[in-house]
Amino acid sequence: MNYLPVEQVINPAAGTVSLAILIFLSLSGYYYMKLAEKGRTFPVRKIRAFEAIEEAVARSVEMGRPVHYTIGYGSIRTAHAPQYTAGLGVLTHVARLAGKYGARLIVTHGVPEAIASIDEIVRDGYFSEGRPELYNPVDNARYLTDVQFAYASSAQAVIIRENAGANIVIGPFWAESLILAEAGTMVGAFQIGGTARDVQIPFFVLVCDYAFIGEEIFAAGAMASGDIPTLASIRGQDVGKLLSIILIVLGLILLPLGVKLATYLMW
Amino acid sequence: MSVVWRRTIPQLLVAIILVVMTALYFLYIDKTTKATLNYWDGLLINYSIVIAAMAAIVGGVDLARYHVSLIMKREREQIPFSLITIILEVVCVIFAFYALATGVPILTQPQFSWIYLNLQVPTSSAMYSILVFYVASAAYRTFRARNPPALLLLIVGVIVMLGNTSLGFAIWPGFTPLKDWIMTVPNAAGYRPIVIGVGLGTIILGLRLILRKEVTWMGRRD
Amino acid sequence: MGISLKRLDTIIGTRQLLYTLLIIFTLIPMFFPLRLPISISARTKKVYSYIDNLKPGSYIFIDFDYDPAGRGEIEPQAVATMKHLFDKNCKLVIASLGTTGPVMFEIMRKTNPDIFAGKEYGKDWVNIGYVAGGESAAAGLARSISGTVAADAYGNPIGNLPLIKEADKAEQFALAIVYTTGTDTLYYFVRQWFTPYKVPLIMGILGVMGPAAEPFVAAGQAVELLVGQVAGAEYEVLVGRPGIGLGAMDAQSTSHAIILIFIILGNIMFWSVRLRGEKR
Repeated sequence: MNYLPVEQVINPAAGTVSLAILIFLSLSGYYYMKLAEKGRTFPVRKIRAFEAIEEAVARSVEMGRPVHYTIGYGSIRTAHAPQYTAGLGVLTHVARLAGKYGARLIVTHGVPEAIASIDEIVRDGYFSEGRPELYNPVDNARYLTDVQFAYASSAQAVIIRENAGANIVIGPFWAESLILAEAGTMVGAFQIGGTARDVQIPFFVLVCDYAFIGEEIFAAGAMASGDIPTLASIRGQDVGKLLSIILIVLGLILLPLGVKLATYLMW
Repeated sequence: MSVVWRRTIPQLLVAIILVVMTALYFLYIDKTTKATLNYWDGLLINYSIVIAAMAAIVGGVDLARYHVSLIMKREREQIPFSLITIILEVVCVIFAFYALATGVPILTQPQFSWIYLNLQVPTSSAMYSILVFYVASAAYRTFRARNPPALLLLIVGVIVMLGNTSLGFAIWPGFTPLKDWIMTVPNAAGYRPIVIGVGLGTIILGLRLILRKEVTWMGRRD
Repeated sequence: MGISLKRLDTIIGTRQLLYTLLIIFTLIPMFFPLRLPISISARTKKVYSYIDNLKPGSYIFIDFDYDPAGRGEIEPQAVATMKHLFDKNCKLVIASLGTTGPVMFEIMRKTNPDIFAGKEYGKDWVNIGYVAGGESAAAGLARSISGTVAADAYGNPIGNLPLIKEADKAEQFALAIVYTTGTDTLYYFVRQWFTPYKVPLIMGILGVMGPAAEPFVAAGQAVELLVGQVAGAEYEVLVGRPGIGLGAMDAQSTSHAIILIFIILGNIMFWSVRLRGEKR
C-alpha cells in the first residue's frame, strides 16, 4: 500500500507542529476525562473567582438586592463564540444559585443569537431549585442591543437603577468592561469579572473583587457543569500549559546555542 | 423524540462542524473537493447570517416588550427613557422598510444616516469619553501602595502615564524610552502566557463540545 | 485625627470632585495651550522612516476602520500618515471592513481637505467603502479587489477606476495600513495579508490596544504600530503639519497630571490613616 507523503496530507500553511500539539492536547484532555469516568479523582486547581460566585449571590439576597449578570454584546458567529459559551456556562451556575437562595437575577446582554439560550438557562435555574414563582422572563433576561456603547450605557443603567448587589460580567468585553465594572463600584456591588480578551483583563483585575484571568473562564464553564469527567478535561488544559513552559524554557536554552526553536515550531 | 430533536441533533451538528472545520484548516485538500467544501462553507455562513438577522428581530421584540412593560408599570422616572427607546426603535424600523421599498442601502439612506451621524455617533463618543473619568476614579482607588506588588504596579503605572504625555518628557526625557521598554518587554511577556492560556482553554472547550460534554449553552436540561 | 483624615480621604475620593477637575483641566489647555515639548518615540520614528523609504508612487492599501469613539485617537494618525504618503506620491486604495469606517473617512476628508488637494480621485486614491464579511472580506480583497466589490463607495463601477486596474491584488501593494479600533481586524490582516502575501503591515490603533498588538511587531508580522493619540501628535510633528493630535497633547498632559496628583494624595491619605491606626 502506498502512503501519501506528509506534504500532500497536511496543509503547509497551517503547520504540522500545530496539528501535533492540537492532537496531543485533545488526547490528553480525553484521557483524563476517561479516567474520571472510570472513577479516578483528581485534584483540580481552585479558581477563587468561581468559588466567590456563591458568596456574591448569597450576599445580594441578604441585602435584598438583585444579582446582575452579563455576557457582553456582539455576534456568536465570530471568533469570540467560545467566550460567550463560557459566559453561558457560568450563567447556569449563577441561575441555579439564584434559585437556591431565592435571588432576583437580571441577565443583560447584546447577543441576539443567545436570547433563547439565556431565557432557558435562567428558567432552568429557578425551576430546578424549586422556585418557579421567581421566574419572570421579561425581568430576568433582557436583551439590550448589539451596539457597543448603547449596550454599555444600558447595562450600566440597569446596574445602577436596580441597585445590583452583585455584578458578574463574564464573556468577551471591549472598551465597555470598565464602564460595567465602575457602575458596579458606584452601587457598592460585589463584583466578579472575567474575560479572555487580554486587553481588558487588567480592568477587571483592578476593579473587581474577584477576576477570572483569561482561560479560567473556560475552566469555569466546566466547573459550572458539576460533572466530574467534564471537570477532568481541565487537566488537559494544564498539560498544555506544562508543554508551553517546557517549550519556552527549551527555547531559552537553545537560543544562545544559535538554534531558534520557534522556526521549527512553524513547521 | 423531543430529547433527540432538542439536544442530540444540535450537539451533533456542533460537533460535526467543529471536526470538519478543524480538518479543513489542517489537511491538504485537492482543488475540486475544496470548491465543493467552499460551497458548503458559504452556505453555512449564509445560514448563520439569516439566523443572526432573525435573532435580531427577536431582540427588537424583546427590547420593545421590556420597555412596554416598564411603561405599563407607570414608573415615572423610567417612562421617558422607555418612550425614547421605543420611538427610536420604531423610527429605525420604518426607515429600514422605506429603504427596502426604495432600493437604497440602509447605510446610505439619508434619514437613517442623519440619525446615525447626529444621534449614534455623538452618543457613542460620549459613552467612550466617560471612560476617562472611570479610568481616573479607578486609578485613584486602586493605585495604592498597600503591599510590595501594589507598589510595583503603582510605579510602573506612573512611568507609563508620564511616558505617554509631553508633561513626562518635560520632567525627564527618559520617561518615553522607559515606557516603550516597559510596554515591549515586561508587558508583552506578561500578555503572552495569557494568550497561550486562552488558546489552550479554547482547544479543551472545543474538545468538550465535540464529545458533547459542554452542554450548558443549551439551557434547559431534559 | 484619624477620623478626620478618613473624612478627607472620602472627600478627595468623591467622584464628582475628580470628574469636575478633570473636565476643567482638559478644557483649559484647549483654550490656552501650554505648548509643552514632545518627544518622538522610536516606534513612530520607525513608521515615519519606513514610509519615507517607500519608492515614490508605491501602491498602498488602507483599511479605514475605526469607530466614532476612537476618532480622537486615530484620526490624527490617519491624517498625518496619509499626508506623508500623498507627499511621496503614493497611490492609496482605501477600504473599510467596519460599517463605521466610510462615515469616519468622509468626516476626516471634509475636515482635512488640504491633504487631498491636487490629488485626483480614481488615479491617486480610491475609496472602496464598506466591504461586508469581516475576515473573508479581507481575504477577498487580498485575492482581488475587483473580484470582491462591484462598485466603489460613490457608486462608480470598480472596473472604471484606473488605480484599481494598476493595483488589484495584495502582491501589488507595497504596504497595508490598518487604522482600527478593533483588535480582531489586526488578526484579519495578519492572517490574510501578511501570512500568505507577505504585505508589510502598519497598525494605527487605540492606546489601550497597544499591549495586544505588541506581539505582531515582535513576531515580525507588523512593521510597527502607531499607538494612540500620542503617535498621531508625534507624526504631525514629523510631517510638519500640526493638527488636533498635537493640540490635544497638552490636554492629555494636564489630565494625566490631575490623575497623578490624585493617586499621590490617595497614597498619602492611605498611609496616614494606616500609620495612625497602627500607633494607637
